[in-house]
Amino acid sequence: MKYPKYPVFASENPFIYEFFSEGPRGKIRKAVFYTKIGSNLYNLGFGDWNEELQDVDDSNRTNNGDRDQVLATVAATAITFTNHFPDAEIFVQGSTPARTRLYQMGIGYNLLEINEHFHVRGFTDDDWEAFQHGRNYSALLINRK
Amino acid sequence: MSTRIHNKGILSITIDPNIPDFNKSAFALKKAERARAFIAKHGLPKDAKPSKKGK
Repeated sequence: MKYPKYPVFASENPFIYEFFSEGPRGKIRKAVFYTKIGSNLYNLGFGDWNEELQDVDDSNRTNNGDRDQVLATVAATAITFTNHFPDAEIFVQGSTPARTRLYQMGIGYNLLEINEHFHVRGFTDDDWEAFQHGRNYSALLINRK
Repeated sequence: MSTRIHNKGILSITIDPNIPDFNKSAFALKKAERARAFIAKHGLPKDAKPSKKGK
């Protein structure tokens, strides 16, 4: 991808990653994880680490001025994850329609490069279709080519 | 202790055994439940890769 990526820390299993966003609002710990929800199906979880809750939280916008670098880093973890599980289907849905739209914008801006590695489908009103930049989707499904 | 590895030049990854298992968090459980409900309601694309036993 054309955007730089943050260095990533991974747990000893390929499902868990974290990195630190750096910007005007300081250093923010980001969690990325893949949760098995079917035989080859994984949900992509992503959010900020909330020290107070001791849990991941995606209810706030971070506004750290590095959206594209953050999304590029998350996308890079998907490449790493699917190196381990090449048949995995990754389900992506934001906590709100606006957040799902943010993810699809990130994909849209990097579509050429993402298409080198992944098939991306989006769910419209009643069906899945091949991802098209500018369309609005309520969920995304990604798998390796 | 951490080990720096490189993922085909795509991403610099440091293994850190102290990262919490986010998959056990309430957030992850809630997200997984929501995803399962969405797929149960709407299904998967017809060209989704078929499931493989044992994975």
